Amino acid sequence: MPERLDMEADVVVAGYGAAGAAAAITAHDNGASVILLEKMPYPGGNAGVAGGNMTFPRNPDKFREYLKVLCFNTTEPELIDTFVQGLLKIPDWFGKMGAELRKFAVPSASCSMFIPDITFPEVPGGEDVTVYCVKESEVATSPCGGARMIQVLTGQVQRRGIKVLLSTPAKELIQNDKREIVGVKAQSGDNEISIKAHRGVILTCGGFENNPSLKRDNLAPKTMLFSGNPGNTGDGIKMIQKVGAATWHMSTHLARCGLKVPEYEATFSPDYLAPGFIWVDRHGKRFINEGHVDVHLFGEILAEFDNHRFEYSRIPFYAIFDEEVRRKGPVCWGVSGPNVIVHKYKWSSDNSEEIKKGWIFRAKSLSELAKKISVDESVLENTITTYNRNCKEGRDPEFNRPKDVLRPIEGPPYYGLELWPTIINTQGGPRRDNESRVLDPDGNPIPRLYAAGEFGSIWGFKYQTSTNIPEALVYGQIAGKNAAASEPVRS
Amino acid sequence: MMIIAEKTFRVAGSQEKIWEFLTKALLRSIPFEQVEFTDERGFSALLRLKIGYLTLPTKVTVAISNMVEPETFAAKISLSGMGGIIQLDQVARFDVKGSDKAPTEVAAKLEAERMSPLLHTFLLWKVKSFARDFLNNVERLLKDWVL
Repeated sequence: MPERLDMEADVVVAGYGAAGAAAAITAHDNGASVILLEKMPYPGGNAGVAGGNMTFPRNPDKFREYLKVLCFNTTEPELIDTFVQGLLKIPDWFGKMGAELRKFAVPSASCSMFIPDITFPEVPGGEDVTVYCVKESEVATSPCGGARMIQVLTGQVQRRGIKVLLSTPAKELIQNDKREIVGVKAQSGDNEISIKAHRGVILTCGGFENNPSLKRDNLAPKTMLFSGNPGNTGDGIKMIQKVGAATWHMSTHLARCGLKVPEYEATFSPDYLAPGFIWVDRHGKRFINEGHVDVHLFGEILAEFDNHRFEYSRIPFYAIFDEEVRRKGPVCWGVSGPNVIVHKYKWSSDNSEEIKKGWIFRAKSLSELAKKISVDESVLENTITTYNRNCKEGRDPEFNRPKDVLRPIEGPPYYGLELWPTIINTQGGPRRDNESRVLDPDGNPIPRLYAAGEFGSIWGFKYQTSTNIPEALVYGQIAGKNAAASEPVRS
Repeated sequence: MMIIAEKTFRVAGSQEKIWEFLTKALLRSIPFEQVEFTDERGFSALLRLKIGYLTLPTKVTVAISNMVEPETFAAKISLSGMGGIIQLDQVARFDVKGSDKAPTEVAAKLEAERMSPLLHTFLLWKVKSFARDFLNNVERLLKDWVL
C-alpha cells in the first residue's frame, strides 16, 4: 500500500467513455461513492467520436446463437447470454435517464462504404436485427450518434454529483497481500496521486488503437493507423499484467481505411458521393469492388500480404478520382471521428482547402498523378483505361462493381488520396467473466477488479456491426453493480 | 400545396432492391455539388440552375421527413438563391409498393409548399420541367441499375 492516500471512494472507475459512464452511474445508483478518472481533458472515449449505434434483435434467442457463431468459441457462451439479456434492457435504461432511442436509418448515399444492419447474413440467426442510436433531444444535440449518447451519459454523471477527474490517467493498480485490488495510482499534472477504492476498481480505459508497439505485436497488418480517440494507448494492459490478469482477444480489431495528415493524430475517413473513383494498390492496380465495402471489414481486405514481393501491396493504397467526385462533396466524412468532434475540423465542401494543404493530390495528367503517388505510370494508365472501357460496356469483369457505381473516371484533372488501414477499435484486454470480474490465467477472479467496454470486450472473432457500444453499456452496468455490492475491504 | 410533378412507374426488381437504390438515385438525379451532410438525415448542397444562358447558383437543403423502410421516403427540399428571389420549398415523396416479386411500383410526387413570386409568375414552367426531369432521371437510373 502507498504511504499516502490522496482520495478515497467506494468505487474507482478508470476511463470515462460509454462503459465507464455506465459503470459509474450504476455504482452510484447502487449506493456507492464513485471517483471517475479520465486520461484525456474531455470525456467520451472512443464512443464519443463513433457513430454510436446499437444493434437490437427482434428475436433474442436467434440473435444469441448468431453471436455465438460469430465468436467462434473465443468467448464463453454465458457471456453472450448475459450480453443479450442486458441489451434488451438498454432502451428502458436510457428512458429512465430521459433519453430515447431511434432507428438509425441512414439513406444510402455513399458510392463505396456501407454499414449493414446485419454483418454476416449467411450466418443463421442474425435476421431481423435493427440498428438504433440515441435520438436528438435537448440533452442530446450533436449530429453524431456517439457524441449524443455521451452527452446523455455525462449529463447523468453530473446530475449525480459523481467526482470526475479529467486529465488524470490511471497508471497502476494498488494490490494488497490478499491479491485484492484496493486502489489506483494516477497521474495528476506532475504529481502521482493514490486513490483508495473501498469496494472495487473498474477498468474501462479503452483499447490500444494509438499504441504502435502493442499494435505491431498483436495485429495484422503491421502498419495500422487509428481513427478513434487518441487517448486509447492501451495503458490498462500494463496495469492488469502487473497484477496477474489474463488477456484475451488481443488480435481482434475493427479497421477501415483512413487518410493521415501531419496536422492530426487520428485519420480522416474517406467516402465518395459520386462514382468516378477507383482504388489502386502500391503498384497501380485495382484490387477490389470499390462500390460495396462494409466499413468494419476493410482491415481484412488490406491485411493481405504478398509473399512474393514480401510486402503489404495494399498499404498504402490510393483513391483515384475525377472532377465530378471533387465537386460533389467532401471526400471525407463530416460528422464523426475525433478530428471532427474534438478538433472541430470542417472539411471544405468542394475539397479545395485540402488540395491547397496537399492532403489531396491534384494532377493535370495520369502520368503526373502516378509520379505524385509513386506508382508506375504505365500500370496506372492501363488500369484507368481498362476500368473506363468496362464502364462504357456496363460491366466490371475484374471485380463485379455494381452498375449504380460504374462510371468512367473522367479527366484531367485527376485527384488522389493516400489511404491506410486505420483502426476503429481494438477488442483486446483483460479476460473477464459474465460478472465483469477480471480473471487470472487460471480463470479465477482477481478480487475487486472489474473491466468493461472495449478494454477486453467479449467480441473475440468476427464482429456484428454496432455491438461494441451496447456491450460497453451492459458490462459497464454489471461492473458498477457488482463493485458497489462488494463488502468494503478490511484495512 | 401545388403538385409540380408526379409520376408512377414500374421497375423490374424487388421492393428491397428498389429501396436500396432509391436514395442514391435521388442524390444522383440532380446535379448537386458540394453536398455536405448535416447529420445522417439531411444535407445541404449547391445547385447551378441553368435558365437559358444564365446559370444561377442556388443553395439547396434536403431533410428527410419520413422514411419507412422499404415503403416510403419523403424529404423536404428547399431552394434559395439570388438574395431570396429564388425561393422554393417542396416535398418529394416516393412510395415503393411491391412484394418480394418484381415488378415494383414507384409512385413519385413533388409538391410545392412555398414559392417566391418570381418563380411562380415567370418560371413555373422551368420549375415543372426541372421536376419532371428529376423524376425521369430517377426512373431511368433505377431501371438501369436494377437490370
